[in-house]
Amino acid sequence: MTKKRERLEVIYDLLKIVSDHNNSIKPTPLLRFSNLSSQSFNEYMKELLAKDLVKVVVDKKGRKAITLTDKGFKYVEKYKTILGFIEEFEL
Amino acid sequence: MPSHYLANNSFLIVDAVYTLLVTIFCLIIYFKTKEAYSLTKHKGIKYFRNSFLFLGLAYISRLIFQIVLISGIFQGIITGRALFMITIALVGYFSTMAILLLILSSLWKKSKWFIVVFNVIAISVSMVTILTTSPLILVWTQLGLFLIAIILSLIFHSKSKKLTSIRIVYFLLFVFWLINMFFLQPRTFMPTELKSIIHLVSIAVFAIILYKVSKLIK
Repeated sequence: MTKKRERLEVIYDLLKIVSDHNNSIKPTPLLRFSNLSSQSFNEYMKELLAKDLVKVVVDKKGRKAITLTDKGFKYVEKYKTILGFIEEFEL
Repeated sequence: MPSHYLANNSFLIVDAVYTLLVTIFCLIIYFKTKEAYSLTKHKGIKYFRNSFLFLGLAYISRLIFQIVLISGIFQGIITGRALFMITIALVGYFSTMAILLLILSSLWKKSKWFIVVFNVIAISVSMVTILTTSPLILVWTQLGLFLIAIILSLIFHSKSKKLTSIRIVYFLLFVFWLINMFFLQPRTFMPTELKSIIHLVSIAVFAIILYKVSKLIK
């Protein structure tokens, strides 16, 4: 059985998916790639928006896409160092 | 500042420099971890950095006490005993909170109520120290808290009983803090050379933590 992903890891995975899709992905494929339940996905999306890690962009046709903010890019960049810090200090 | 006063208090000045250095280390650790916390809002990081903020505040209180003693600026305004009591109350609260927050940084997943309980403990410890007018009470209480921390750590981290480098560093940090608190006790005699060695090792412990933080969070 695979280990349940930690919250920080899920956030990293979501942001990495967006980043790997040229920083623009629709919510449905993001949900599919994330391997989360719809309920968990919605909770995480709320958290990401509240923490200003992603933003929702609506195009002229009214289609929604999710993109990373500067803070989101920084999270992706720093995730591994922060994880190392958490593990080292047993936080 | 009268020069003869400084000459008679040379060790007090060395002690103040040591306190200043440790305070700076604590504050650097606090500010270095700011970005990691603002990005993740990870509670463990929050309690860890707050622990060093409180430890810094405890050392700042101690430093202010030393500066006032060395300079004698409040002579005739406030008695030495009153000044000592204010210092010990502040140092007692800040240092107890620092210890408890460091414990909380690795146990935060276990209960939401720890932070409230810990604040009550820190205030109680501070009050008892004032009422008994003895920093030794603080040393014994904090030693008790340390033993509780070890027991809690063994209960909650029963799967990982490894003696990791950070656990050794935390242990040393705590031991040297207790020795420092012992210094605050009036009429405590300890040879200057021994005090200096303790200060140097204590600075080294903080430097190791700062180095580890800096290495991991660039």
